[in-house]
Amino acid sequence: MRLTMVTALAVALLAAPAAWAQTDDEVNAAVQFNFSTPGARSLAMGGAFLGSVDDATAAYANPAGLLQLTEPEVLVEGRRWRYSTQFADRGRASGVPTGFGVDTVAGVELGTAESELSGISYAAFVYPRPRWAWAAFYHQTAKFQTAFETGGIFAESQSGPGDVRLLPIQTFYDLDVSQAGLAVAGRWGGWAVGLAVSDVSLRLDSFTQRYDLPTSSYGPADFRRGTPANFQTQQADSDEVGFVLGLRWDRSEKVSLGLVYRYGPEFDLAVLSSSDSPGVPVPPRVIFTDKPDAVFNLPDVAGLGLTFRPSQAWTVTFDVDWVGYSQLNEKFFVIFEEVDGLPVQAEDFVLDDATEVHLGFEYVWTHLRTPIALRFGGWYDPDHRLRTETGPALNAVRFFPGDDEIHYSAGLGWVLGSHFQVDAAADFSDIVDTASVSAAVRF
Amino acid sequence: MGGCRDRGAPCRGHTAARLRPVFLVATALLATIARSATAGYPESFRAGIIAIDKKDWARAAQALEQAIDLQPRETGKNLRIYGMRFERYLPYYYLGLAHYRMRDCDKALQAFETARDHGALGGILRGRVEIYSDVCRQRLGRPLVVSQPAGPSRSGVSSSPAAPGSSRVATATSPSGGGDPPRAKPNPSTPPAPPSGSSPLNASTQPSGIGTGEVRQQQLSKVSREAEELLRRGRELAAKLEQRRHAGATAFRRDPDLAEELAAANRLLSSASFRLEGSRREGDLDGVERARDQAEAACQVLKELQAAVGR
Repeated sequence: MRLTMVTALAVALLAAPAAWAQTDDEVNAAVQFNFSTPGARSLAMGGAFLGSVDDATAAYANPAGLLQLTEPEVLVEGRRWRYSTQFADRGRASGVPTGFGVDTVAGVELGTAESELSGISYAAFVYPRPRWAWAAFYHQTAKFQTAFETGGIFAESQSGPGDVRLLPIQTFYDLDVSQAGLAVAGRWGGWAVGLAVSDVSLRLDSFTQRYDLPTSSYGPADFRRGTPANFQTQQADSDEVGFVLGLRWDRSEKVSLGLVYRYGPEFDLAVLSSSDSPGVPVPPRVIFTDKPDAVFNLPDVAGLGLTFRPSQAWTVTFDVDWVGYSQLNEKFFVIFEEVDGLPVQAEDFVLDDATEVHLGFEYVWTHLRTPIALRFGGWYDPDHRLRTETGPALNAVRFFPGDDEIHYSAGLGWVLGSHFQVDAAADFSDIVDTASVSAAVRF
Repeated sequence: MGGCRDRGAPCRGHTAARLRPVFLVATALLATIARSATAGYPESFRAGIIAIDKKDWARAAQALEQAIDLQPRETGKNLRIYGMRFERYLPYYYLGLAHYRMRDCDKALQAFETARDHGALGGILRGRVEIYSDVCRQRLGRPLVVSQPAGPSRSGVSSSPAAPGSSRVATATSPSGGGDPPRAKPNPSTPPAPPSGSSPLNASTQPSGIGTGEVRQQQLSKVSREAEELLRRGRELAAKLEQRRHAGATAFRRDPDLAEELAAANRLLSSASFRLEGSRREGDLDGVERARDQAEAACQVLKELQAAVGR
């Protein structure tokens, strides 16, 4: 039986377009991040906060909300994220297992990589004036890491008789998007209007090493003795300007509406695909792809939020957010132009925009000397994994769709004295759990 | 319904019947939102507090008067201003403050008096009211009223040394208790009556014979130490501000209110000092706590003055 190694030998030989976005390095399929609003209070209420925005998180969430604050406020938030990243690990995508070596499993087995990250996720200082307000803020917009190994999946070849097998890989991906900026808000007719301008910083570092199989093509992956076949890297370290435009309308203290648009800028991204291994050069090295001016396009977000306070104790918040994840995919760069002898097109790869629905509740025991708030909520997070819908079947194994997620959240808040506030929250879903603590001081 | 289907035409009545509950729920929801969106006393109070934050005193007074019209009782209940910022419903206190800032001392005194009568002010706010009332009485040329200290002031004449900056004022106590609500006279031979809700210990609920007196004494010592520390800090702040005033600091020249408040805060510190001394001697925990609250209120006002004058 013929077994073909699917390797990264097909390279971008044709003239490249002016800008590229993501690539078909499969680690990109595993990337999971979202653009939830900052603050433990918001997190506890399912991220539904665009209509409320009544604390210092308004500087980023919806700058129009800054006008509600009448005392200077400092807020600092720390978050901890636990990611569960799914990837196609081993097994057989098509055909019957031969029983040779490790080709004994029918169907694709998914692996799960766990990673934990933590850090200061938001900090802001708000200074309100009688008719306007300004703020300075820092926001960790996205923070994600993953690292995993795959065993190499078998499949029936689409281009001829016999089987093919994906090369086993070791890979890691490290993404950090943060921004620091200034926000200002004023009144325009019956609306509060806010604008934030920020320096958005992208740090991205990914590395995927593919290994030849040392003994048999049906043998187990051996990352210690296996010969490096080729590797791919994606790297970015640049700053661009982003902005947030927000509107807020309040019918009274009880009903308010918020609208927001967040622009995500484009960043330079360097993509490299080469033979052998960066640590073990085996001449002659072949550079398949060296693209220093590819692009990482941070998705735009548009949202609408409604807040209703039926009483002093209760608050109900509801948001609908559109996230332009497809922008990550607009100028897709194909590293592997051929897989299993079949051509690969950028159009094969799909990344859907997501329309998130957020709902949150807050109950405050106002009769207590120091009020305590209980919050809970949830939100619908549609699948936004990079996947293929056309092209070689083996690519559909590497880039498979995920599931829509439901996040459940809860938290508590304490008002200590008339100037200090502490909030804590947790948000749970199958792919990411988030814990948050924030403290605010008004003076 | 069956007949409607039999006619073979679109059944409008049937559709309407199916949608009726949806219409009813939507109408009820909209009505609830519309009804709850109308302004009540919390909204007026909130508007008043926001106007105070913005130093828009006239607007604050107007909004607070509206709140009082809708809810005349000063409940002290926490009301949301925005986010997780809550303020106690004390519209008379804030109304008095707004009038005080507008230099309308008659109305300010009247509002402060009503706030005191309602009894919802905490100890520190009572101290602030004493300071603002004191300034107002000075402005109106009425006799100065200082809180009636326990113990040594019962003679009706205070032996308080003149506070810095207040030497032009003859300090006297007021038997009528203009600065304080009427209080029971402590009897040195028996433990003082437990204060209504202001003391964390209630002698009548303590089991006998397990050191009630000791616990009370410990509490007395603790609160006394707190009061002494606040008095020390207050005197330091006051002395610094006096130095700035004598040096002709611009803020004092520009805003005569600052000097008036400084003098009133000094007088309150003196009053607190005397109250502390007398109450401690008589084992009156309520009096000691009152002295601590007065000292804390004076410190707060002095810190605000320091911020206004600049360091």
